[in-house]
Order: sequence, then structure tokens, then C-alpha cells
Amino acid sequence: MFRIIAATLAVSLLSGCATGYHSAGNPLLGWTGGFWDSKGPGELTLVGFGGNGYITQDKVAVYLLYRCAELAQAQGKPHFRIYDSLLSAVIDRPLDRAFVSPVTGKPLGQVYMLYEDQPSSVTFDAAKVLAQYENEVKGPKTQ
Amino acid sequence: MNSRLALAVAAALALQGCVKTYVAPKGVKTARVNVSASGDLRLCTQNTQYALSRSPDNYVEVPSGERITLTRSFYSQGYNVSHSCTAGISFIPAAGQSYYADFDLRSERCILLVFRELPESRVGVGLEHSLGKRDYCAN
Repeated sequence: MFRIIAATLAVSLLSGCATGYHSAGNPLLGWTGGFWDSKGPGELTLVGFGGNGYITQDKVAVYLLYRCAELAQAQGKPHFRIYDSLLSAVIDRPLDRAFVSPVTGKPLGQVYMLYEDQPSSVTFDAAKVLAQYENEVKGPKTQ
Repeated sequence: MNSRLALAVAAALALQGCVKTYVAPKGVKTARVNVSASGDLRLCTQNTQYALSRSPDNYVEVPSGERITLTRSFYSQGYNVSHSCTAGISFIPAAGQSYYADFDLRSERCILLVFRELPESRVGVGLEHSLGKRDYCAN
């Protein structure tokens, strides 16, 4: 009986759902994609979000920006800036939105991120990003 | 069982690709390239292709003072679509200098760039001014 329940659960999980907001290393759901990050070079952090064929590029861009804000808050940094490539970081040409493009027909977004203590015209406010997209990323809060 | 073993050995040999691993000749000054973000690279120098051996701290050693080409191949598969590409870039490494190789995928294209490592910079790297088009190795 347990095997039937497990198999049913596995089939329902495998049945074409769009990538949700979770780590790409999630043992249950990571096969659909998810977020990841890696440190360096310098103070930069490379943050990525890979989606499957059922999620839109716009949604991946929201998830990616939200993950950046989460990381900034976890580091105790209120602001951050993002770059679409290492070259853009070197010449300091930040983005005003997360960059997502298709790879093998699936949306892949990745940005280099730099934490900031002070706001500027090119930084994102981590708290504002989290508040703005919380419902879209985590779903509406139930009372 | 024997045929499976033979097949596995043949596959291993085929995947190895008969490419020699680069070892700097005695007296040749070298530079180092950080490959932690680029994955495994191939070296083309003096019309010969080499694999590069990665140190535990994710650096590879390359010859300095001459234009060399680094390449990175990528293969991905999904939804009955496969994608492969090989990105390459050439530059003239300076003896004793360390570099940072960056491999990027966007819009079904792959890009390989090389930067100078600059530990004093916030972003850790700076522009390498000798970058140029890749060379193709005959051997």
C-alpha cells in the first residue's frame, strides 16, 4: 500500500508542473530546476534560477530577483546591485531587472550580485523586493 | 561480460579523446588560470591541443609570453532538443600572472572570456587587454 501511495505521489510530482520556488538541490523537486548560488570572484555572488518548459521567462526573472533579495537579507545587507555578466560587473553596468534567456528551450536566469550597505540609483532595496514579490513567490498568506 | 568490459574500455578511451595533458617544459615560464567558474578547458598552443590538469584550488597552468587559445565545450539535452557549443578565446598570458576564465550561457549561445585576477578590486577581476579571436588547432 505504501508503495502505491509513493508511486502515486511520484507520478503527481512528475506530471508537468512548472518549476516552483525552491533550491535546485532540493532532493524531491530539484529535477525541475530551482535556484543556486556560488561565491566569487571578489565580493560577487553568482545567483541563478533554472526553470523547466512550463514556467515563463518573466516568472523566472521574478524568482531570481527574489532569491537575490533573500541572500542580501541573510547577509545583513539592505541593498544589492545585479549584473548580467562578469564583464558588465567589471565595467560596472548594472541591470534594472534580472536577465533570463532560453537554454535548450528552458528559461535560465543568472546574475552576478554585489551587496551594498547604502542605496544608490542602481541598487535594489532587498526588503522592498521581498515585500513586492512575496505573494507571487510564496503564495498569498492565509489568515 | 567480456564484450561489456571491452565496450566500457573502448568508451573510456574514446571519451579520453587521445588529447595529451599540458605539462610546461622545463624553463618555460607559466601563468595560472582560475577555472572554478568555467569548468574544464582545453588549451591550444603552437597548433597543438592539450587537456589541462586542474589543481586542488581550481587553477590550471598555461604557457606565458605567447598567444594561446582556451576552449570550453558544452552539451545539454531536454524536451527532445539537444544543444552543443564550443566557445573559445585567445590571449597572451603574462608570466606569473593569474587569470579568471568565465563561461556563460545565454540565448542558446556560449561565451568564454578571460579576465585578470585583481584581488584588490571589489569584483575580483579586471579586463585583459590581449584578448583576441580563438585559434584552431590542427593537432
